[in-house]
Amino acid sequence: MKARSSPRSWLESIRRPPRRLRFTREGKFFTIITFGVGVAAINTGNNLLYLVLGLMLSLIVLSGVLSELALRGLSFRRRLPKRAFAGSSLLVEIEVQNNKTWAPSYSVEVEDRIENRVTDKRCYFLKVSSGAKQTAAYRRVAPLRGRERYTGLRVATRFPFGLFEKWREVEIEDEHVVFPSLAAQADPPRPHALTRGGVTTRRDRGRGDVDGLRELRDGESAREVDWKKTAQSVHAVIVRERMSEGARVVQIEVRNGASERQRPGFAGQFEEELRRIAWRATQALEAGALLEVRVQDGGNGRSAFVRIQPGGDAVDRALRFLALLPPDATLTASDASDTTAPTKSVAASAAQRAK
Amino acid sequence: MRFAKVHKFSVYAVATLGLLALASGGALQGPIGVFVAAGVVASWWAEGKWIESRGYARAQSALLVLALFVQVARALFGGHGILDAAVEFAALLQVSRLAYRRSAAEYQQSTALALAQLIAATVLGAGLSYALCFLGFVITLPWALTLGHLRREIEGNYLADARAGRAGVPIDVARILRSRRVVGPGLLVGSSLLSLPIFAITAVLFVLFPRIGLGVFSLRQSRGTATAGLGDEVDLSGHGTIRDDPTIVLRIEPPNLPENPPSLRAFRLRGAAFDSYNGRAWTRRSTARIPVFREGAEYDLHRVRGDFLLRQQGYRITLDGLEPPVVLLPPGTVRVRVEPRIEAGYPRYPELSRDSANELRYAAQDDLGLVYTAFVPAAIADDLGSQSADRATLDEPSRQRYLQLPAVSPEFTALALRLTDGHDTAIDRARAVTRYLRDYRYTLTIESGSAERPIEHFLFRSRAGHCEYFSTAMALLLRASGVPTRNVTGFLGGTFNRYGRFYAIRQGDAHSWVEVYDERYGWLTFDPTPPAREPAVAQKGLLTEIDAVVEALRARWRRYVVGFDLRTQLKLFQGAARWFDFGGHRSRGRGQRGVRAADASSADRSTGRPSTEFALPVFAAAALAAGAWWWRHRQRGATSATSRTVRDAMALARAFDEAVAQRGFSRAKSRSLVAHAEALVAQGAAIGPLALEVAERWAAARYGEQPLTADELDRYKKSLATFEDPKPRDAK
Repeated sequence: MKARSSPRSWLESIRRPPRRLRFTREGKFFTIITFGVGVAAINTGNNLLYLVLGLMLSLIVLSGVLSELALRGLSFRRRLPKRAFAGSSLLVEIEVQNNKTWAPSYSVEVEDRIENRVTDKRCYFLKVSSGAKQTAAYRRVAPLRGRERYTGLRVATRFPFGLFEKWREVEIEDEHVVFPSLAAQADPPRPHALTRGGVTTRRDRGRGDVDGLRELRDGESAREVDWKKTAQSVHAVIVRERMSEGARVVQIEVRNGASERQRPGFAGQFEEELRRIAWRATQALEAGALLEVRVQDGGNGRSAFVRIQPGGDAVDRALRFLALLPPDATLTASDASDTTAPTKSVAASAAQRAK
Repeated sequence: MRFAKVHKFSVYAVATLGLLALASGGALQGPIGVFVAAGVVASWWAEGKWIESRGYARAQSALLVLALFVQVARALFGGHGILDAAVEFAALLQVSRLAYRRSAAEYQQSTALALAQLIAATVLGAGLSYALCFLGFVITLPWALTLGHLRREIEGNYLADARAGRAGVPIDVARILRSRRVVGPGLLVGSSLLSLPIFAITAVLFVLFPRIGLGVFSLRQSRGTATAGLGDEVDLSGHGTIRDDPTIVLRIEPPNLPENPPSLRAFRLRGAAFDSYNGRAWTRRSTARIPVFREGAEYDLHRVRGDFLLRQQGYRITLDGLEPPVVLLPPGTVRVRVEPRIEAGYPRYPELSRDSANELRYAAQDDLGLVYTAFVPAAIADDLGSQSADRATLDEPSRQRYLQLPAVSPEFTALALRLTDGHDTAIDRARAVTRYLRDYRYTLTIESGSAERPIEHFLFRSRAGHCEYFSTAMALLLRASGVPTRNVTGFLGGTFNRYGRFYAIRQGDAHSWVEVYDERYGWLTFDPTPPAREPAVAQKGLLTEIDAVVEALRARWRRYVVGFDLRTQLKLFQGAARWFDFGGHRSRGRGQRGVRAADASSADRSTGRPSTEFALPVFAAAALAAGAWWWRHRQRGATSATSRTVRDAMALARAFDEAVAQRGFSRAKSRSLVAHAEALVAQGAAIGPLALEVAERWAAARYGEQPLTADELDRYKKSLATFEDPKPRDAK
């Protein structure tokens, strides 16, 4: 939360108050009836009508106070799935914690926002006891591959009487990469992508040049642990990654640029190609092959290159790379045989993030 | 408790209170009231699968439409009031909703209907029973609304989720409604305690709303309590059960009430007077009425001499709405001061009118009755019940009217002459007849009611009867001897209510007596009914005490709630202003004249204003509470400031990580921001210097108690996001 010391922050708080209110259908009727009772009371001077008017207004006042109490002292956490594919449903979990010491929060509705757009996907919490946590989930379908930024939550309540809906925005940012959907295919190469399969004779992870260092993953052997680096890092167990000697190599070439002539309809074709490539890459890595993806811009002939060793989260890294690959990007990097070298190209950046 | 059961109970409580509020205003009487009560009780068990059947729904709708037609027909052709018909239909609609409770919507409709009935009941009645219904609403309405809302949300969200397949596991809504965990004692106690702030806010708003009362359109009905003896006819053949009717008719606050007044006191309050007797019933021959002259709030009834005027005693009387709207007065009342209603900011006084027999009535607009002070000359007030201030002279037609006799037997005439023989004046004759009748027996059994000539049967056969027999017999005997008389009905009695400090006059105190015209003194009151009629001792016991408390509450409800008007409101505000002004008053007194301080203090005590001994602790407590609140607020502010600092630092760290990762220099979790930035500088990365600056600022914010400002955070984020590396080599 920003400090509200500057005039700009103050103006912002005026423009976007922390709480907002709207009538529910019942609330509209209730307010109209209250107004009517008020008019009747003033007109007739009937004190009993004044009494009823007082009762109805006090319900409105209390409604505001109690809804505020329901929204206060809550903290939220969003849990995104580890893998999400475009076009498939994914389950997003929302966790609510009531930090109040004695008062439970009733009837809290949490609506997620992606890129500041309301998703119309809600989680309803009937009762969150004081000091307790509750988790609810909603399903949604990510329409496109790529990075998705969950920007906040809209936390609302109609408690206690359902007359008004009060809500506040909670800034809680999360991000995940939606992988392209996998299109199973057995056809030979397509026009914009080229897949070449190498021949493998054996796999030997214990030999070959050291390709890099990384943290030890679950289920891996400790034979490749670099104890010196592990001691330096304190918190992580570091292993050496080696190039597979004689491993099968699958090379995939992706052309994400198009000439002027090819440009009409290119984006759709590219997405379709990417789904097939994603499937092929997955198949290759799961079969234990070394994956080399070369991105070739059809427009200016520049390219980027990423090599992904099989095993561990290799499939995720490959899918992540493909998910972040934009169509028709302008490549500025040279043919990067060393994927650890930083480049400015979008594709190469995607490759780095994929790691 | 199970959610569904608690919710059902709360909705039934609210619905029943709504119906009771209507019933308290006089609606829902007779068969329809019984039907509604039975319907509400039966609907309690109307749930489960069989109300889901289509046949049940159709039958229910058909009955409702039929009820609508019947009510419309009754209103249009049956002489039934439109408002009454609408109220009865609303009650039937409530029964229908209660008998068709399938989901939260029906429960909410029942609650809304009950609230509408509470509103409707305001135009039907204003008694203490309405107050009790209102109090019940204050307690139960938050339950019904809260649980209704939760049920609607449960059904709306979980069922919708299940239908849409949004949730991973389908949620059994029925199981939640059966759950004992949703509605725990906490929620019940909490929503019960809500009634306290609701009550407080309602009371404050009630007092603060300006009482304007435009009076453009009012549905309020004039539905006074029918009172025996005050109508156009008094029939001797029947008297109903009014003798035991405890309904209060008026409350009288006599002047100079001692600290411990007697429990019983016989206040005589004159109501109607009758001049014509047809052998079975008293009627009026002259019904012409003339308005009473008003000056300010006061109505002059009789012109009296100066010293008579000076020594008057005022009896404050709170009269309930009666039918007919007769103004009951102590005999000898010379003037009346009426407490007006305030409408559109102006006092409105009712029009008073009287007939030739001095029966006073007011133009009633509703059933709220009248509050007035009756002034009686002290000389008469000392002997209330035997004198009158009506000294009008009788003209001949009037004299003949008051001498009218039905067909009587010679035996009756002979008795009249025998009793009055030897007495010259009307007073003496009246005393003689009174003495004679005192030997008769008072009874509520109407032994002579069915006789052809009830009075003669009373005088010569049964020798027993109630007050109307005694007064009629006396009036007729005197008329037979040539003395003009009239039969007067009203009330005699008074039970002291020590909680409200007033004397209550009830329907059971209805009484009848005689006014005798004397040439010298005018109309004089004589009561021939034997004293045995009056109860000898005041009733005691728990029920009597409870009754007294209820009556006192009713009086306060009427005075402070129903009768609350702009005038009372202004008095209240002026009182509050004086209360708050006492400090300035004292300081001015000290500053101007030193002696005034002591005077002011004593004045404070004498006027009931709070003294400083009382006010200082109150202000000290208020100051302490404000200080505690400020300290707590400050502590919270400090805590939130700390958490804000941490959040800002974390946001900066995220921006840092994102920026360096985009350039291929992802930071290991084990490495601090500063160490990573230093490594970047050492490697010669372009982003290194900026990264180092950001990292050092982050460290200062996170650990050095140097919070980031919003501008700083924005600036660093922007710098990191827009940082451009030097142009790399072109691709081969």
